[in-house]
Amino acid sequence: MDKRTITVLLVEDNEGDILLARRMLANYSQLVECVVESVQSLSEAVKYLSSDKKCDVILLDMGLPDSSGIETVQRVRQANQYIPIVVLTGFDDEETGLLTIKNGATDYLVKDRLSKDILIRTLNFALERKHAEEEVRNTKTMLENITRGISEEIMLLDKDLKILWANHSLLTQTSNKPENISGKYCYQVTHNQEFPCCPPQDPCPVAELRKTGCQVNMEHIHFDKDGNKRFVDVSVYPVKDEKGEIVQFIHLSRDITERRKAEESLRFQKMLLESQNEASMDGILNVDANGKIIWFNRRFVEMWQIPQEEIQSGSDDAVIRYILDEIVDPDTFVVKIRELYTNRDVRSKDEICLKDGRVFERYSSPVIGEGKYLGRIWVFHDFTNRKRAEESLRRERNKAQNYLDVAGVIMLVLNDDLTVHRINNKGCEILGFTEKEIFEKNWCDNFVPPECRKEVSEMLKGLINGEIGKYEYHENPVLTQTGRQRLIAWHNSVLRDEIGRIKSILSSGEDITERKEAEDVIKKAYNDLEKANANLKNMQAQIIQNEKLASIGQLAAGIAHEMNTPVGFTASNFETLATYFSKFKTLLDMYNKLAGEMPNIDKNKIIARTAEIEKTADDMKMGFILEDINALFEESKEGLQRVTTIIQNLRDFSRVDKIDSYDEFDIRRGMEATLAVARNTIKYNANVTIESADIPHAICNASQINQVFLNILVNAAQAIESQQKGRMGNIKIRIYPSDPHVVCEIEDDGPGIPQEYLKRVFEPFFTTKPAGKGTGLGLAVSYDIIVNKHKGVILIDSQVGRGAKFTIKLPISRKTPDSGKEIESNGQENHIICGR
Amino acid sequence: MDRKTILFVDDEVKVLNSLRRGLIDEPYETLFADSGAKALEILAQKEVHILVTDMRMPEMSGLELLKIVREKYPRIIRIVLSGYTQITTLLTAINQGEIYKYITKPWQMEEEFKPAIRQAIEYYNEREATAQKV
Repeated sequence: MDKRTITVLLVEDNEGDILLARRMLANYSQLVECVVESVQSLSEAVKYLSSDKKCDVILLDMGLPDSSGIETVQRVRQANQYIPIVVLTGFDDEETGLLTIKNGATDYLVKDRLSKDILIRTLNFALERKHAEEEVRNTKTMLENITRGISEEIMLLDKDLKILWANHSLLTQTSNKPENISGKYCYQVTHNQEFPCCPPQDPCPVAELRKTGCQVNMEHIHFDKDGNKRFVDVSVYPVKDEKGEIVQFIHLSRDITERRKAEESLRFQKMLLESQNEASMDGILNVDANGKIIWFNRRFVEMWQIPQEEIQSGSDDAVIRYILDEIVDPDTFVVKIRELYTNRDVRSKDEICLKDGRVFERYSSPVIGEGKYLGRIWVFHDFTNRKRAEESLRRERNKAQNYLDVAGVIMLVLNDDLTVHRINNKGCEILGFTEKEIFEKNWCDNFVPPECRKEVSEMLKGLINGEIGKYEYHENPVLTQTGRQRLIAWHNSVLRDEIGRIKSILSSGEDITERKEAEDVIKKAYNDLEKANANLKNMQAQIIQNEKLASIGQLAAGIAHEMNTPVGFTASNFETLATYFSKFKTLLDMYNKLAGEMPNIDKNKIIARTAEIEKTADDMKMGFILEDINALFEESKEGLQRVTTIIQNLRDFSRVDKIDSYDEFDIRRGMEATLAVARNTIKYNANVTIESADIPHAICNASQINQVFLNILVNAAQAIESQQKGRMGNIKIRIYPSDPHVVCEIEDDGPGIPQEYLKRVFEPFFTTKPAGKGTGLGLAVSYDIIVNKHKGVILIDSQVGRGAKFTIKLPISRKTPDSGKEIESNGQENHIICGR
Repeated sequence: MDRKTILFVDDEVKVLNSLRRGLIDEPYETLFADSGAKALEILAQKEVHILVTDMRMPEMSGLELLKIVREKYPRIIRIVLSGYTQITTLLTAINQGEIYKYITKPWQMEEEFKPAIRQAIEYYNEREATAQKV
């Protein structure tokens, strides 16, 4: 069997003593082998103890080179707390010995009386003691570890309530360190007060225990360092000695502050819940597992109009029976309630229609407490109004959808990420996809042709960013299912949420593909027309010129005829006059011959010759000739006069000497000249009467005004002629002043002008005359002359079957030097009034 | 051969007078009317072989008269003496009045007018002769 080894640290500077000690310890015992480690100074000893080297006991000489006396013991004890120290001293002095023990030595030996036996016995004792102390220490550590894990606060108190020991929990709860509480009284630590708790308000649990001698459990209030209240459950146990006397108390306390707070909060919540339920707009009924009503709120009673006695009966069945009368379908209601009471874990939500039109929503939920069925809670919510609102909302929504669907345009709603939120039937139809295929697709990526994707995307983002005005109207093509594009004109707006943020874009789009194509065609046609119009304008100028020539031509024809007749008969007479003259000459010759022969012939012969001459004269119808010769001259003279007059009138009419100048003019003279030249055209169809007053002069171009008169007169004559009634018509002319105008009315009793033509008579090329008879420009040119050139007015008034009346108003001359301006300022009446 | 009768119609009496005096030596009878109505009266009473009329006359125009004469007295040869030289007037006279000659005013009595009348008479006579043979 192996010997146990103990190591002795010998702290001794005396070689002799070292040797002695070594010798004594050499053969320690049969069971133990002793190893002596020797150092000769305190510093070496401290160094040794600080190292890992083994040491079971220290043999210490107090007188060392670097230390002496009791200080040596203290220093070594400081270096190591637990290794037993046996002091070797030269003095046999009990006082010194006790002093060393007090300062941490286990025992002391006097060198002079040292023997092997004493030394070994002393060392053994020291080792035993060290062992025992270690055991105590371990136990204490264990106990402390145990009590440390306990959340209860534990104190060991002596009879006077002084704290002997406290566990970790108490220390942390009272924010103390172990050294702080030693010697303190419990009330100082747990109550922050300098006196024990005293009844009646604050009974001390230990005092209670003293009364009975038995264990005490009670609720108590502690205070922490800051004076905060802590609710605690306290148990106090007595510790008794061998005689049964109570010597100490074990004081256990458990903090129940949190629990108390939770309880209080629970109470508060319960109260809150009850008042909430009471204030609820919902009717609430709580029925226990046995069908007894345990709680209901006032609203429940109001909603169902349950009489006080029914509800106070506490019977759920009674209440159910009562309310059945109010329900439209009581059977279903009862069945459902039974089902719910049978199936205790089922929750439900139902709608109940009442006979008075109200609709309740019923929620039912079992009440389960700790896994146990405690009954059911019934909540009734009157959502009649909501239901109605929902109904109307649904109707509105349907209506809106219908509007969207019947709309002849695309209605498109895009989310702010440009995905499709909604599209109507028309949109689907144009795109050729179903609503499902379009829904939530990105609009730009799927339905906009790639070439304008960027532009459209920018526009839509602009809208989302609020640039609505800029992008209100936009045209862009869309891509349809067939790959064909359709051009759409979009009107855009945005939809906002409650706080005004733009959430989506609402666009209505019209398919303008055909319209655009048509527009292009029209645009081209318009351009062509513009060109044609420009050409026409040129032509018109030409034509107006032609019209002038035409009316002059017409006039020439009239004048020619007017002249042909007098020239015809005058020329014929002149020719006849030559035959007359030759006849006269023949007779004169015959008479001359007779006169020359007269002296030579007889009377009978003369008579015979005379008779012969007379017969010749008779044959030559000389009687008629002599009778007629004066008439021939008269008529011929008149014929020439007529031609002269015509030429004079023609000159008056055309005023060739003043073609383009405006001058003061008496329009009566113009009318007379015109009538003179137009007589031939008119006289076979109409009688002309002229009625005129003294009138101021007007500023005109005479030849132009005459042209207008001629146009109107010729038209009137032709209109009368066109009736082919075989009777003479009438043309009445009135000329009179009407400040600031001179007025000329020309009225005929011809067929009149149909209402639908009245507005058009002044249009160029408008004519009702047979082809070839009119240019359609006469009145258009007249209008131009009167209104544009003279700042006058020309009106037409007519009724079918009653004839037509033209009224021409020309500004009166103000005899101002610059009469042109005057004419301008009088030009406000430049309009045509038609109809009667 | 019988003397033929010629009726002249013109609203201008001076024209009729000048014709009367210009034709006094011609070998035919001359009758004068200053309106269509009077011309029809004469036609109803006397046999007329040739009609010479103006075109432009009040009440009844020369064209109307020509049409009536063509209907009622188709054998009368119709001649126009008019100041109108417009093609439309000429065409209506020729097409609707079916005239033999159109003489314009002013006319030349010796070189133009008298030969025209003589030709008309010859034409009348030839036509009558042809009609009798058939």
